[in-house]
Amino acid sequence: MSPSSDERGAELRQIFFESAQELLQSLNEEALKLEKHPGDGEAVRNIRRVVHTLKGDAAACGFRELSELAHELEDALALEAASSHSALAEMAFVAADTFGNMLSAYRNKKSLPPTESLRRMVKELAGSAGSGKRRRKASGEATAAVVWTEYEQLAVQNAFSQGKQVYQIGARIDPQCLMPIAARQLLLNALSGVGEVLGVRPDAASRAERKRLDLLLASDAPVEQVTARCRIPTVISQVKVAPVKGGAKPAKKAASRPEPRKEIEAPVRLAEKGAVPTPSTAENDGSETAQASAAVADNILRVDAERIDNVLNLVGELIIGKSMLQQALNEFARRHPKEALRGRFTDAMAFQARVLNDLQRSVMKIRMVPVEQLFRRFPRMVRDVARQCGKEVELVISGQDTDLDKSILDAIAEPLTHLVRNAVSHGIEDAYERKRQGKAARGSLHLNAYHQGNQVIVEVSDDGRGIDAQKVKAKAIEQGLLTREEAVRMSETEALEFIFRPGFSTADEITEISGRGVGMDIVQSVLQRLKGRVEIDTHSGRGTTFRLKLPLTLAIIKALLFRVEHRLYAISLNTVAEIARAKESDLHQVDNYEVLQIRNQVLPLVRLGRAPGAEAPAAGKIFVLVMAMGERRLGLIVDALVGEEELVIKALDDQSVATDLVSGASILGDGRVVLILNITAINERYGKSRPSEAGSVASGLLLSQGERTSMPQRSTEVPQ
Amino acid sequence: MEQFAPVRRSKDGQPVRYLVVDDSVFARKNLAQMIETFGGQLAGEAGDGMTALTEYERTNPDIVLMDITMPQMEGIEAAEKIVRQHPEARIVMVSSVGYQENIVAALQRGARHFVQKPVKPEVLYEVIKYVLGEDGTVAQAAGAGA
Repeated sequence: MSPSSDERGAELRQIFFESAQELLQSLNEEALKLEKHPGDGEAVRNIRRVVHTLKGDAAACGFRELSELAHELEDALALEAASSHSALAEMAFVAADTFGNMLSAYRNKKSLPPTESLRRMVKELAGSAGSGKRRRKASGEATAAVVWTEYEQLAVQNAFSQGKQVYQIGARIDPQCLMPIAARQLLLNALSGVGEVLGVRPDAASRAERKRLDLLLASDAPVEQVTARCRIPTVISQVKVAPVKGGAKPAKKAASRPEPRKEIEAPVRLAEKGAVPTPSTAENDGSETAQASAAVADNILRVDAERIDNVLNLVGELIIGKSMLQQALNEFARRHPKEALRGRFTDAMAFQARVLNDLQRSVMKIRMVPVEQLFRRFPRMVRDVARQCGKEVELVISGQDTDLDKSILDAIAEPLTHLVRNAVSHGIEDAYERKRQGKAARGSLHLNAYHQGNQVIVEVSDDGRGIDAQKVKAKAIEQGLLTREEAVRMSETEALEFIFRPGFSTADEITEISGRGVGMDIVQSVLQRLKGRVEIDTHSGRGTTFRLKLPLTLAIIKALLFRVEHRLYAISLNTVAEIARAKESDLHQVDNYEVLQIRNQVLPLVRLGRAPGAEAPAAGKIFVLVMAMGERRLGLIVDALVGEEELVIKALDDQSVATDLVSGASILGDGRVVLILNITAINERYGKSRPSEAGSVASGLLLSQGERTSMPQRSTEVPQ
Repeated sequence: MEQFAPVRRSKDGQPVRYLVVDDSVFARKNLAQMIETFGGQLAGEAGDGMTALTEYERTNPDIVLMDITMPQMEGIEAAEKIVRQHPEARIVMVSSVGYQENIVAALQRGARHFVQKPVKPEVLYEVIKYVLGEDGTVAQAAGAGA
């Protein structure tokens, strides 16, 4: 690559970094395979291939150190004894890590990390396999004059007797060409077109890599033509062709035996120009099946994610535009109910809406990537963590084809890592403990992903000891997060929520759950940010399942619009389980909670507007939105429903909204701004809070005051 | 070394068409860029030997740049199969020093030339001109870096 073209180089390097990550991933995967089946020749070959590609790519990018290290490793792997070497898998792991560190060092333009441990392992491998064949051991540059064997001399005489010219050719291999044996073959190919090669030095069996080739050629062609044939750019730098005088140099021993080598030349075909192409009728088997993979391999584009985001943004604007148009149309229909044009407008609108819908879906699909991209990293991690803890854990992965928005995928990488790590180090018992419990010694960890409605579910299940809700409660009481009284009433599911509290259970008294808290608050907070949820399903002694419920995409949601106190709000339609109608008189007061009884279930209520009992229009009918948040249900009292709409979420920065009760905002077709409520946060704050505070969020405060004012009086501020 | 005098097909003066076969996307991209600087045209790409066969049939390229180590079908086998069907096929093996034996095998099976990785544009350029022989014409003789 030319050094002057910086931009091209940068682009290439970018591609290199991306593809190198994939290479390292396969390196890890092959190493895992090899660890499971030591001596797996296929895995060794694959490892070598990966290392080889990495070497080549790194060299092309000018990352010399990486390329050289990979080269050493590749050389060591090429040793015959290597494939049976027990430490090979370990070395591959170390190599993957070392290469990974080097790559990130290159990327961040930092100094390179130490590579000694890998080099040492490579050396050990090479050393232990030292008795095997070694490449690159030039057996001395034989400078002596070429000595042709008796047989070759015989052949020369034979050629003479057939009236041919015999040339002695001395060719110097281009110093840049590092493959003299290949060069030799190429020269043989080239010469087979003009004559018959009677002898070559070094000969085929010799593995010595010399920079010089000597040949004997029998030919009818003049010396110029032979010389021209030998001029092969990049391979042969110098050539000297001298006709052998009738028995001058080679000792003459006239004997007229039939030429034995004649047939050998035939298969080495060097097609002449203008050769008639043979019609390709035969051997089409296999090409059919290759068609499919060809389509896959060749139609992949790498596009900057930002460009797709731009398109998605534009689609978002279009959706807003669509609802603007829809509203204008409604207005038009209202004013001119008899206008015949209405129908055409409506048709056009419907068509546009459908195309827009498709467009949106297509763009979202571009952003979708299979969960496999994330799952791939776990086999290695599970292995490492299990080793650290001295456990045996088998990782089962399913549903890796499930697609998920790239940004969501990136966001859940960390929480998922915590969950997997915890499951291995704390959830799954060690072999001894498991046997005592009558379980298989080898623990099992299951990663699964699937679509459910408008959501993607990612599950981490272990068959370990499970989480003891009673102990969690006890711990919560101890830490003052819970009174004994509350603990009694609290369901197990609710109790388990405590493990997501920052700092909870880091104390190690409760071995069953200790460490479960590490990073668990991250899990919770990430899921909240993504408008997703995490559910825990645990059975003592049988294992735990963490279920991450994620939206398909972050950018556009189906939302339910409603009014409270003449203000417009929206919530994600996903969370709405049902909508109930009720009269104010149906509401009851229990423990200072307002509740509503629906089909024998008591539903706690939250008011976004007035305080309970504060001069409510007693006879008024109200709507109750029933929110399902995992096990928990919560009713939201609203004044009026406005409709269902697709909202393009515009993020709000922290300056404009000082409360986490609102997760974003959107613009409606008529230009109005609507706030999107964060149901999880509302539930946290008001669903579970002390009864005295419950049920009193003034609607205006969401916009103005933040959460500080939860006093019922605030509601009077709301403009009527 | 930035630009090379474009090499055209002698018969019609069109750009030389290439099929690039390598399992590394990076390597393919790299070669494609070089081809561009030679005034050539990327007729097709393949990530494995099997695909190379079908791509050869589809695109009928002037030159194939073929990696040695690839999944499914290695470069040698692919080269051999292509040459058996199309003796006129010009296949240039692209691989690194460690696979010399494989290159020799490929040359014995009809590959026309080889370049070692990392590929240097000036080397590849020379190889291309050589492999094309009289079928290739350098547009402005003065610019040729020979």
